[in-house]
Amino acid sequence: MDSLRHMSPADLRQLGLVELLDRVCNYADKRALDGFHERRRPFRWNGERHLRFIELVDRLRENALRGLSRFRSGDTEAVDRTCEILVDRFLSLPPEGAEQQDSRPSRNRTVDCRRHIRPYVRAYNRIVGREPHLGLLDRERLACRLLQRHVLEHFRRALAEGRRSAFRFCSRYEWKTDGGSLYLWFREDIAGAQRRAFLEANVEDVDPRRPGERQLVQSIIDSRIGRPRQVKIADCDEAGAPASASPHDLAVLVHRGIAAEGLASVVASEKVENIAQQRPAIQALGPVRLRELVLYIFERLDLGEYHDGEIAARFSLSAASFSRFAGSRWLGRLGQNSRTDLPDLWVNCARVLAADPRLAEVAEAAGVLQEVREIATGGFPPNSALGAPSRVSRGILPLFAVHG
Amino acid sequence: MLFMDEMAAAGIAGSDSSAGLLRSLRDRLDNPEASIPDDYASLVLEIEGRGPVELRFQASGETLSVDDIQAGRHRLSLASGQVLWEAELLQSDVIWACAFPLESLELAADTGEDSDRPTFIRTLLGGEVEIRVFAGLESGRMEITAGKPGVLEA
Repeated sequence: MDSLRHMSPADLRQLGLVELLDRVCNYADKRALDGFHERRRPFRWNGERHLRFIELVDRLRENALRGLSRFRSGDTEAVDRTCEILVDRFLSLPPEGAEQQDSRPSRNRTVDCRRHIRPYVRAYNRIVGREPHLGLLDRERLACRLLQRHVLEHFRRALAEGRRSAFRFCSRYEWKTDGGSLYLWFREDIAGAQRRAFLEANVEDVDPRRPGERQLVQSIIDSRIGRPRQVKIADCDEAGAPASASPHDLAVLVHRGIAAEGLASVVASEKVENIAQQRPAIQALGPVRLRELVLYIFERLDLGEYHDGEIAARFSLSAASFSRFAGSRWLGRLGQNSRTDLPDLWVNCARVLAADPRLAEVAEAAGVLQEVREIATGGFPPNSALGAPSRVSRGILPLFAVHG
Repeated sequence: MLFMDEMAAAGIAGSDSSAGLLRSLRDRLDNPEASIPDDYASLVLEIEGRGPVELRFQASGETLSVDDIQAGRHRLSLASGQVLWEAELLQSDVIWACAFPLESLELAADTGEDSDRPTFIRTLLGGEVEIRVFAGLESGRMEITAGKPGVLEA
């Protein structure tokens, strides 16, 4: 069994594409996965042959950006997010440890490339099983073609996910006109009547039946109103943060991030950047799911529908793990426990709130500034009047989703 | 999973010949984003100290010849990355005087004998790829055949 599990790099190079990826599925073989990404060139794109996975993703990104009119205007963020999701799906194995030794994909929602590779291997085996006389050269060519289709299919799906992510702080609006309806995205904080007024004042001669009309109108909305965007921490740093500041520095996050992203996104980014310092159950989510979790938590808070059990189940977390991360029943323990017993996410929130003067003003107006500061600095008021987490974060989210 | 259904749809039921099978695969599995004429096989020969040479086979059974083969390390891979063969060719594989010290190359060439006498043969991928090396005066020649002639020709 060990001889099957361990193969030298030279032996791995001699495996067919499916055999190599089968090893990734069956043995969680990191070297096989690295070999696939570094040495295998099964993809092609618009006249280019023999591309590696990451090169195909790059071509897909360029193509999607060039074809922006096919999607929505200003969708660079959605495309970038799409590529991140796609790469994650084909690059991520669970962290080393017991789980990596397990040939089965992890049961929780951790991004695990085996989940996405195994269907491809099965599809290939099913086709080859029907045609056993296929030669090895034919099989390898078939394997390359199937993989290309598999990745493209994932890209299309990830694109939808990327779009949803890019429009996270927006809501859809149906603009009814004489010629039909257009479905458009607006910032959440703009009311329906205002949306209609804006459209009527700024869009002339609309015809929903005209090809590309929705994209055109959306581009007018985006250019004149703007919409909340997510900004990567790394980008914030490149934009001119002090040389001494780390990209993970909270002050950098707050001063550069909140203006563009909003509280939820800043906290999510901070969590993702420091995922290695999170509790194991949270680490196991992986960066993509962790970001989704944090954003989902804020979304539920904003909607006033914050139910621990539902969120924990949605992200396959145990009740205890979720409680430590973002439980809502910690208020009952006020005065009994130390700051270390506070759910991690609320401590993060407090730090972000306390670090930004504008947010501090809002917290002060809400009457929670003192508690926020004490939590942020490690102190803890024995008889805190700090309300439920929703009290702090609700209302702040739209206020600081500044639009550009 | 939708992809699984697509893959099932891309199955090859109904093809009653290998030629039909290949056409079916080509038609059904190709995608508009990658509209490149499909080679039967594409191999890459890497020669120590020189750049890689891409060998594109248009049909099964085709033979391509690479000249100026010198002694040294060689590696043959599928263009998609799978290494098929890696070995060191010796002077006795590529230089006639070393391979056949008692025979004249001119005489052998006159009789067409050199092409019948490879100094090195390797069969790969269950016989679907064959490498033959022929010695020459100052350098050798490598012939590579891909596919099984007459069996899978589309």
